[in-house]
Amino acid sequence: MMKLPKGTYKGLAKILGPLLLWMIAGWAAYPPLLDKISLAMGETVDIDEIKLLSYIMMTACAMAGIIFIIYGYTGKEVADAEINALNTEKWPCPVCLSPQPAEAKKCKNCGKNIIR
Amino acid sequence: MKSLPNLNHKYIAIALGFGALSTLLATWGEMGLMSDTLPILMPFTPRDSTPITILMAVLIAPFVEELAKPLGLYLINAEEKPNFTLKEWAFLGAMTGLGFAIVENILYGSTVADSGMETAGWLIFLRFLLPLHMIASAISGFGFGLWVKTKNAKYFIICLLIAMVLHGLFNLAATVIG
Repeated sequence: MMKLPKGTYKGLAKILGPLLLWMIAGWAAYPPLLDKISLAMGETVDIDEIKLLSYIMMTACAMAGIIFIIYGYTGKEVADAEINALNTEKWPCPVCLSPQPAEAKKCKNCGKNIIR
Repeated sequence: MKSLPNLNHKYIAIALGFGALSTLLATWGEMGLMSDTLPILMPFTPRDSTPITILMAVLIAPFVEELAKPLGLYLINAEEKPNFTLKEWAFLGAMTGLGFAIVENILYGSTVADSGMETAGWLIFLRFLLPLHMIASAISGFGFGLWVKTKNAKYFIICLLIAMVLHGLFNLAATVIG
């Protein structure tokens, strides 16, 4: 598999970071709300076990969220052209049939415009 | 939206709408896969339904749902051939996850409505506080973007697998402990 350029994952990190921080609120609310819901449904839950899971998940989400935000918002995000350059697919020019990159708008051989 | 210059409301609405519609596809797929694989995976029906619930939540649901959610992305790409950045694909992926979560959360809420509307409301609220579907779909949306740009499907498959594993682990924790 092709090696991706540096900074490729920054776009994803910018989306995931805030979502992971949002998830902390969910894990914080998990024990009291689950207790409330299960009581209303007439079921019992092991609240200590749930609290332990909640603390672990809150810590994990906070750490991952902060790491993603720092990674995403520092340094340079990869340029779109660098990712597009990884596309090695070639198509024949409709006029001279010489192989051209899939994204090419103009044939490098005959100079005609390529309409796809 | 300055940081997402190529996205407009149309694309966001398509992603949200098809994310919501994909719940139907996922439900149908889950039921079909469950009825086909259960006799093989569990030839003797256990007295306790817990293993079936775990199998459904940890293996079948993540597999089917993560495959169904990017439906809107496939259609946007097939119809419009947009030139989105990877961040925009990841954002659209998160929107399909949000659309899916809206319908799924309401469905889950309706299953506990017998215990009162307040209980249903709390369950829906709690589920909205845990944006797992948005996180998993953002990852698969990012992979979809890499696939579109590099024409290498491996990136999408890897991201889809990561999303499925993440979803499965989350469901395992919620089913076994919660």
